[in-house]
Amino acid sequence: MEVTPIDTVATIEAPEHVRFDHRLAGPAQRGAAFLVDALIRVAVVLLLWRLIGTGLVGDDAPVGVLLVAAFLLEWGYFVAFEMLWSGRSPGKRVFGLRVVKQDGRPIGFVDSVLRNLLRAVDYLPAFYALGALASALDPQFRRLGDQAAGTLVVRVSRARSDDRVAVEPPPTAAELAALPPRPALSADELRALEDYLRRVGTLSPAREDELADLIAPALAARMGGLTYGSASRFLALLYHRATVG
Amino acid sequence: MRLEQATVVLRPRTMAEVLDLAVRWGGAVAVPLWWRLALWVLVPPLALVAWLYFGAGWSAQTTWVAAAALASAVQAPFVVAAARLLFEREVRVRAVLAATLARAPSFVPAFCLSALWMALGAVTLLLAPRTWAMAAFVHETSLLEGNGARRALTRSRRLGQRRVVQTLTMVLALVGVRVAAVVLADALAGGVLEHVLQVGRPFGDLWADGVSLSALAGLFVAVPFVTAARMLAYLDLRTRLDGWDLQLRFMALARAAR
Repeated sequence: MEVTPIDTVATIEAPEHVRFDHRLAGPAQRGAAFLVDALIRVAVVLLLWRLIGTGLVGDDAPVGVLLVAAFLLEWGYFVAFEMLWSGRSPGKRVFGLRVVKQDGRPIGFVDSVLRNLLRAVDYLPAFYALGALASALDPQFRRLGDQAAGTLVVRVSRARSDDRVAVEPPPTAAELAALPPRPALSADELRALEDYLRRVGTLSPAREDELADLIAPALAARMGGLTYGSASRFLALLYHRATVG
Repeated sequence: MRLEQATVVLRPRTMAEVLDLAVRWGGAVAVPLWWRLALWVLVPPLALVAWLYFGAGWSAQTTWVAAAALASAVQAPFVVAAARLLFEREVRVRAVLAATLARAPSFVPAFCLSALWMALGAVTLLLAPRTWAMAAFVHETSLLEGNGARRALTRSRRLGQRRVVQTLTMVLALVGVRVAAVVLADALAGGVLEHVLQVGRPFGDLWADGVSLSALAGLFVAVPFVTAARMLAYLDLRTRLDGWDLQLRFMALARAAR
């Protein structure tokens, strides 16, 4: 029976029918971000408390000021930051997370209000237990608020480095002359070779050769039966030829 | 082990992603087996520690020490189960228990040695994070790699050293998961017993007595998730060290190129 392996990546089709892979943020990442946000809110309340103690805010209604501040922070903090910072609260920003619509578009005011209003339900019966359970059972890690608002939390992918991997030692003229001027490599193959070369050094030399041997013969055969000594070096040269020339 | 049959996508992940994956993988793949295994493996030790406290009159502290030791020891069959569920579709409780028992002669000394090591770390306090990180993968290196006690600890240390910060993060996060499970279980049971059924706290109150049956249950309920998370962290380390993700990609590309 063929079963799709599980991952924490969701493929989202944008309204323009372009597909993007988004790394989903689950309870661990969101919990860490929430802790940062909670600390910030507690710090604000404590600061306000200190200010009241010094009389700067006024002596008449210190408890009232605190209660209003706590209320605003509880209900307005996430909505305000999600609107200001395009789906990111300070905690989410620290961990590179963002709330987006299920089709990948930025969230709107109503979405933000809805998902944050339902925090009260997700919190039940204590410590976000219901939200954590709903999130664990949902393939996209959505708590109840997200499910109602049609939103999800994703990890903002860092731009993939465009820096080419430098081949060490640099290819000699003789090595390059033995390869076709433009090796016929698909985008997938080129990306796989690049990822492989980035990991060279973290793998044992024997394992490097073992891995390279998995694909080098097929590529060599496709390019007219090229011969090579080290499979790992052959892949590095192919990559260099395809990207640098 | 056939990598192409893995029930998770093999790729290097951050520790936060590993923990999230454990939630997803547990819910989608492991829960049915966990239920059956829990009846055999988690209920008896829970009953034992409950008896130690409520029946034999042990103090709260000694009960928690016994519960923590048992909750760590009973991770063994869950580690075996997780390893199998990562590469097999059908896993039976009987097979898991048999495999665990077969590994017991090497696992028990390894477990005792690592427990001693971690206790020493806890006593010195400052060294606790380091010693705990070093012993983090002893269950896996003993049960899955078949190493003896010293070799299992050495191998666990080497694995942890490859990604010290990530391993420490995992150790601390999993301690946090256990604490959260204990507190949450006590709060849930307290809410139901006191406010819904209004029968008070006949099975103890964590905050007033130091122990409650529900808090002890919470510690054992966390065992499957803790083992799954650690197993996936171990898988991540092996994927990085052995390039399993690259192996699968190269194999697929080679097939397509032919």
